[in-house]
Formats: sequence, C-alpha cells, structure tokens
Amino acid sequence: MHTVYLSDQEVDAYLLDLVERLTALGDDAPSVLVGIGASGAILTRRLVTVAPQLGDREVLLVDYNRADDRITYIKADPVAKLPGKRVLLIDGTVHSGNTLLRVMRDVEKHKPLALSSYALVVRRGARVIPNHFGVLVGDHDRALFLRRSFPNNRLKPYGIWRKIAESDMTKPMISTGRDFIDREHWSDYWYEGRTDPRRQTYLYEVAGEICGFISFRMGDGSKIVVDNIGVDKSKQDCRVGGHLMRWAEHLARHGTCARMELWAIDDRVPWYQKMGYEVVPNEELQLENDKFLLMTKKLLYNLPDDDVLCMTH
Amino acid sequence: MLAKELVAMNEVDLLRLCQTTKCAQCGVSLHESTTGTRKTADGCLCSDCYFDRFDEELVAHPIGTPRLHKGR
Repeated sequence: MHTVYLSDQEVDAYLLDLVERLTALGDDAPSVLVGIGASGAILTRRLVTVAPQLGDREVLLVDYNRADDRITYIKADPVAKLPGKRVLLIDGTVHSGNTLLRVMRDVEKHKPLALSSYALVVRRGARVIPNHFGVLVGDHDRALFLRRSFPNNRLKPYGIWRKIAESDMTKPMISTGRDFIDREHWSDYWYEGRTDPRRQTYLYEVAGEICGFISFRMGDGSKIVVDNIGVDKSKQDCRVGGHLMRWAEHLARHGTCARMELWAIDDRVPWYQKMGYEVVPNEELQLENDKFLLMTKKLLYNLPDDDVLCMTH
Repeated sequence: MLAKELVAMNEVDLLRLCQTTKCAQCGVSLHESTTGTRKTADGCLCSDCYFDRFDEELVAHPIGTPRLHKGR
C-alpha cells in the first residue's frame, strides 16, 4: 500500500485547474455545488476559498449512510435547489464508487439540467469515474490531504515487536492455556521460516520475555494465511492478539494481497462470519474431534471478486 | 446555502454537521483512509475497535492450524 500525500498547495493547484475548466464552460458551468460527505464538504469549502468568485453558487451538503443506505441532504431542500440546474458533485476520494453512484442516482431524481462530478482522488478499481479528477491511485493505496495530522500505523505502544530469531530457539514457549499451541516450540517456527521464505513469524516481547506471536504464510502473492496466533496468559488482557492480527493485515495490504485466510474451528465460524470472513467451500480438515474450516476475507473490500482477480499487481 | 456561507463556517462545526457514519462501538466518525471503516454484523467499526474485538476472540480461542512439530 502506498500513501499519497497531497500538500495544501497541491490540493489548491488541482482545484484552481478545476476552476479554470469550469469557467471555460461559460454559461454551461455548474451553478450548484454538492459536497458528498465530510471530505466533499471540506473540499468544496477549499474550492470556494481558492476561487472566491464561486461564492454566490448554491451549495448543498449530502451524506450517505452505508449502514442503512440512506441519503441525507444536510440543511438543504433538494426539491427546491436541484431541478433544472447544472450540478457538480464533489467528493474527496472515490473508493469503490458506490457512494458517488448512489448520490448521482438520487440527484438525478430531482431532474437537474446537467450532472457532473469531481473527486480529488480516485482508486483504480472504482466503478464510477468522475468527470474531473485529480489523482488516480491503486486499489491498495490511500491518499491523505487537507488534514492537520496524519495517522501513524499503530501497534501496542510498549514492548518489542520483532521477527523470530535463531536465539529464540532456547526460549520457553508461551503458555496460552491451549495445548495445541503450548506443546509447540519456537524451533518449529524458526525451522519453517528457514525452509520456506513465504512463512513469517513475529513475536511480541516485554522485558526479555516473549508474550505473543503470530505465524503466517504469504500464500501465492495474492493472499496471506494466518496459521497460528497466541498470547501468553499473563498478557491476555493487553490487546496483544488484536495488534498481532493488525500487523499481519497491514503487511498483507502492503504486499498487495487481495485476501486474508485462516483456519477456524467449526464452532467459531459464526464469529468470523460476523467479522466479514466467509467459509471457503470444500476446504475442511477433520482431526479427531475437531473440524477446521478455511475462512477468507477480502482486503480489497471495495471491489467485487472478479475485479480483485484483475487488480492485484 | 451559498458557497461563501460554507467558507465562513467553522471547520469543526462543518465536520460535526457532515459526519453521520460513526463507529458502532466507540462513536468516532468513520473515514476510510484514517480510522478505517469495517463492516461487521454489528455495524461499521473503526479499525481500533475491530481489532479489539479480534483480541477478545483470540484470547478465548487462539488460532492454531494443525501442523507437525518436533517433540521435546
């Protein structure tokens, strides 16, 4: 995953170009600006700041709530403002394009004279392309702009996060209370990593003691498979497991993986399904009294499955 | 509103006005590129809350793929 940083000056430069193109339209220029969501509102505000001559244009702010598929016009009546007008929709970033398309369809219901759209950033796999846009980024990428601070990636703030090393072979295994992990040994993971470079094991260590670990395989380049993850009983209220999982997913996105996979014991399958995982058909392991099912989750959740197959590179 | 009224609006007030999709757990306003927006059966979660839930699950039910290991 690449992060594209756009300075305030760069954002203004893109907006000034947009203003020039809209001005060139003359009487066909949009008279109503519609900012989509918070980023659209901020960008619309910035647009008018760099081009004060737009100050008398009508502005509507619209929000799309994905949870209930609801469009809300904020402090504005679209029935009064949109019919017969040339409308420009403005959004900060188009990811899947679902929000933009949804808003377009809703605005169309109010019979504008013409409809156009602008986004500062567009992801490559978006299903709707704005009429004007600034930057095209990959589907794993993100863009940051017009922010006072940029988010850092976050692991647990204390302790040492590191890859397994040969010296770990002499260290005691963590105690999770689960025999299928506790009976293993660090040398197992060290050996696997030495013989298969796709396999990675990361440890979390505090005061010289290993407290947690995650072991996964970078599958065929398109997915990451989490094999084992465990936290010592002494640290099981410290969110170590969640941070280990977060690290694996972060690596997966940076490695342009499209999916995460893991083997879940059958009685935990409903929990993983709630968290966005799906059962992979015909992939089961029956071991004594336990059945394991392979579960998968799309990392590029903004794309349908067939696009995911094309977009990874 | 007119565009110049939007410019005159305080940014904090503007964001409060616009951000209606919030994390179902902690209530933070969700944004794809910064907080993450993760759909679950219990609603959209920020990445922090999503992985906190994962932690609770992993403590109770660690992931352990059946494998060969050396004896001790």
